[in-house]
Amino acid sequence: MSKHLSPDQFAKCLAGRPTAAELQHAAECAECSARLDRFTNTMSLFRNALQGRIDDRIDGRVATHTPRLHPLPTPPASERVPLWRWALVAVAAVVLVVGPFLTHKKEAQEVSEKTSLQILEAPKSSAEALMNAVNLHLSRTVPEPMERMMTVIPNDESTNEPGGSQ
Amino acid sequence: MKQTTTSGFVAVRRMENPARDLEDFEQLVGRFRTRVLRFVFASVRDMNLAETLTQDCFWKAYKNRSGFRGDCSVSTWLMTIAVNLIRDHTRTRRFQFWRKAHQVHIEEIHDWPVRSTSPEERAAVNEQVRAVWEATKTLSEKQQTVFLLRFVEELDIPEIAQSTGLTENAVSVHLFRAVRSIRKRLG
Repeated sequence: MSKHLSPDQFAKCLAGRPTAAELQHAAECAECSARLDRFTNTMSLFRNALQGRIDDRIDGRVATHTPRLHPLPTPPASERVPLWRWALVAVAAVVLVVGPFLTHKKEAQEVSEKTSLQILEAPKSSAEALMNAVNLHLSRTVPEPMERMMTVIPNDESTNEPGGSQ
Repeated sequence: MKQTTTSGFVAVRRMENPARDLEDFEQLVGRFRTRVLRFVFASVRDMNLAETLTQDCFWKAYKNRSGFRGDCSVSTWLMTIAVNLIRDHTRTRRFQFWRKAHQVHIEEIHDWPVRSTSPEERAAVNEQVRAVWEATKTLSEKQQTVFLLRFVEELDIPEIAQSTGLTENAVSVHLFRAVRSIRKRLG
């Protein structure tokens, strides 16, 4: 071991885990012993200062007639939350969870109604057009492809005589 | 009714007489309140918060008084409750980063109530106390707890291990690191 305790050896002594050699040196070396005592004295001063602050606080409360600690301690703040606050939180949670579903359902319903209207209107106009086309076709006296030829054939020729027109 | 005596305080395992129970508990509070408050204040550094947590500590002790088996001293038992409350508060505070934690800063405690004869001595002691107060702030949570239990509350290693739930080896390691850090800062 060197002449004096190293910082780590000091820490070990103060932490209560010195080796036998370190313990012996601390007991025999005046300087190391003084340094150890200085640290423990500083800690004593710190403890006393803390206690003094606590005493001042307690004395101050007694002087201002602040209620001292009740022998039956009151429940902590976390256990005194009003019931209505919990109810409010529960309602908010339900709204947050269910709200989007309701909104989506309403939109889907609107879209569905709109589509249904379009479906109902669309067949009516196309059905009329279809019927008109059919009527036009049925009303022809000659097939459509022959309509152009009919313009060059005279109208007064009889088609009932045998042999037709000559 | 089974009785166990620890540290001069009669800890009754099953209290059947509520009046006597209350009387004993009042004695317990009177005896240990300042000690618990001192440790909690040194840990959280906020007097109002320390008083609240101390109140919570004795509330929990009162609720669980029938579960006290007497396998440790009453002070160790109370310190265990206090350590857990401080740990829970620290963890809760980590998630509440939007809230400004009202802490007693070193500037607010420029004048510690030290008992000294002369102003010079008082100033010197004040300076030492401020240095320790500042230095303990830099320790990790476990190092600070172990350090305060050892040097402020003067618990031994086994008692600290019981209070914190750590092994004695772990307590020694944390204490060693804390002391090394404090000594380095104190110079």
